[in-house]
Amino acid sequence: MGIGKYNDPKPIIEIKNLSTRFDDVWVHKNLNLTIYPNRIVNIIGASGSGKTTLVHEILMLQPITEGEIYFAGKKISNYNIENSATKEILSQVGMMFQHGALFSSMSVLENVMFPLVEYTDFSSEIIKEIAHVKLRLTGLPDNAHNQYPKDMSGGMLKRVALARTLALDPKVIFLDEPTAGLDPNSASGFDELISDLQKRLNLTVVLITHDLDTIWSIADEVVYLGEQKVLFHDTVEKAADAKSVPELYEYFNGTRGQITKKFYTR
Amino acid sequence: MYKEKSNQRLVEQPLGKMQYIPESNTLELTGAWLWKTLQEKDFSALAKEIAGTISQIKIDGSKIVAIDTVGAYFISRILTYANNHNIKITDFIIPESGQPFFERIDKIATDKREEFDKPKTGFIISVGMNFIERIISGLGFIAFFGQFIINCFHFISHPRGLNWNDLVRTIFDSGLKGMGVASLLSFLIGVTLAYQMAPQFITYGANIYVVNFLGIALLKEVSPLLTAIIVAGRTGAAITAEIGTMKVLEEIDAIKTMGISPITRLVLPKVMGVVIAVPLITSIGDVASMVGGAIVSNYSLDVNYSLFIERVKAYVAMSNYTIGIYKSIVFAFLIALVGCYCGFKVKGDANSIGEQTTKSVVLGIILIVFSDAVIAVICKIIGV
Repeated sequence: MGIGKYNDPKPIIEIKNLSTRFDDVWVHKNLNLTIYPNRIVNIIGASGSGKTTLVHEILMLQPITEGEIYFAGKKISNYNIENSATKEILSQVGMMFQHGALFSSMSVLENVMFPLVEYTDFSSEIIKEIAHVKLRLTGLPDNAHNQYPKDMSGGMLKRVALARTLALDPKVIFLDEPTAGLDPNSASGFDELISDLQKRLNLTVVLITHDLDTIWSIADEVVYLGEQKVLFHDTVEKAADAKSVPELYEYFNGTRGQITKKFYTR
Repeated sequence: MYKEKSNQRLVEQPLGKMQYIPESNTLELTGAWLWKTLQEKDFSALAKEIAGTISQIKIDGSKIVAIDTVGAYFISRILTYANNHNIKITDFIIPESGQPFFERIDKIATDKREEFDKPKTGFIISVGMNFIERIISGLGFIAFFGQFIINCFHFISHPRGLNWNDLVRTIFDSGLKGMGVASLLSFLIGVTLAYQMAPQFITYGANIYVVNFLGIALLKEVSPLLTAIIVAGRTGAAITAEIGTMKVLEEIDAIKTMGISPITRLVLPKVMGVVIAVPLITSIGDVASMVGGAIVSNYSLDVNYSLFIERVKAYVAMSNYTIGIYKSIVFAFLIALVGCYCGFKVKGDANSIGEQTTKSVVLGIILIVFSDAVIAVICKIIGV
């Protein structure tokens, strides 16, 4: 199973025969997926193919109908905050929601401090300093640290959201549409940031995005969801030439896909 | 590390430790330097131990097994501490794999940062600001009231586009759904009032006058007030939360950009709905409270039902009821308008909605009681 450029023998996320049902509709049926650490994995698929549902199941936001998910070898059960296993897993993952989901009544700094205050016993002064470090790590200028989310631009909000996601130094971060709604400059800046942090912090990044530029420039692997299962899982280059999966081929070789593909494969 | 009663740690990692070894003048850093495994008190203990005793030190971090941002920050803090206390670091080793990461965090952590904290205001200034804010808020409400009246006239001359759905929904929500609780409470107040006054009437042998008393007190005063306060708590708060959420989600701006007045579209149907619904439930509350009074009169004061009804017909003037209903219309208008005004004042965060909802209910009740007093005086002057 040596996909990608690293060969870590131990998978960080293992999904086995996962099936999910909403009322009468099966979103996933016998889905299998293994994600190895220290890489950027991009989940793509048509709308309604269950990308977000899959991530929510790993994060215990959505109960599993059938099958198992293992995180670093430990089975994910249903969300139960009294259970220390739940907290153990959740302290090792970070989720950046599409619209940031920043707490609107807290300043940017307080937003990043929040998980640290909840989980650690450090004094508030130390936590504040650590939060400053995290915000700087994501490239947010110092004068924005005491602003409130409602006063910030979209690009800055994404950086704050990323800083909060990184607050507890998670092993795996999930990013839902990180570049949606950003101008091309901010978007490519954000791509570089993700790639840079991934290398520096040894992160496993799971991306959900439709931004072909993001996929080509930073993703190590592509996971294509369709027909309730994983139809394809390999590198970006191979995904772009996968004639065996017509929808995926169309995805990378449509009118827009052609342009991006030419640019990145020159 | 974890704020739980059990000292169970999250990950099986060795604790991050620092130890000063005097023989070799070395500070040894060992274990995992992660937020889960570090303890802040170790640092202050270390600082106490070495402060003022040495002028140079060797830092050996080669036995660190894992490091994260927090660990790197703490190491950076040790270096800064040494630097600030004129302790020269003769040697500094950390594992090669963690070197670039540490350098990056160290640079970020030690870069000078200007403080952008908000300036603190003194007590007098904050009292003054608060006062001015209240005056502005009061003026704002008057302006909103005026705007509403202007929009009403405009609507009367161009009567189209009334949001009938919203109107009907408001009547349903504040009227039909609120009817049960309003009439139950009115009934209980009727029972309580009659029951409390019964001994007084018996003492003077004036049992029969309980009807006159209840007729005036309940119809003119208690029932309209009670109903209005319940509606302020239910509907006033709901209106504020609804409009406030629309404001946060930029729906109000969307309405404005379509060239539609948010007041005509949102406020008018709500005010109309509440103004229609409240007199109706007040009337039902009137009946419920009189029934409560009649039951107590029957059992405690020997005033049977037919006698009670006869006395009501003969001695309780119709004006008691009509004044109560007129009052309830005024109350309803104020509740709905305050609810809408507070909704529009919501700013883009979650706290603000709660704040304005609270204000809406409090201000609504204040205005109800205040206008009740004004109406009482006016009634006295014109002699109703």
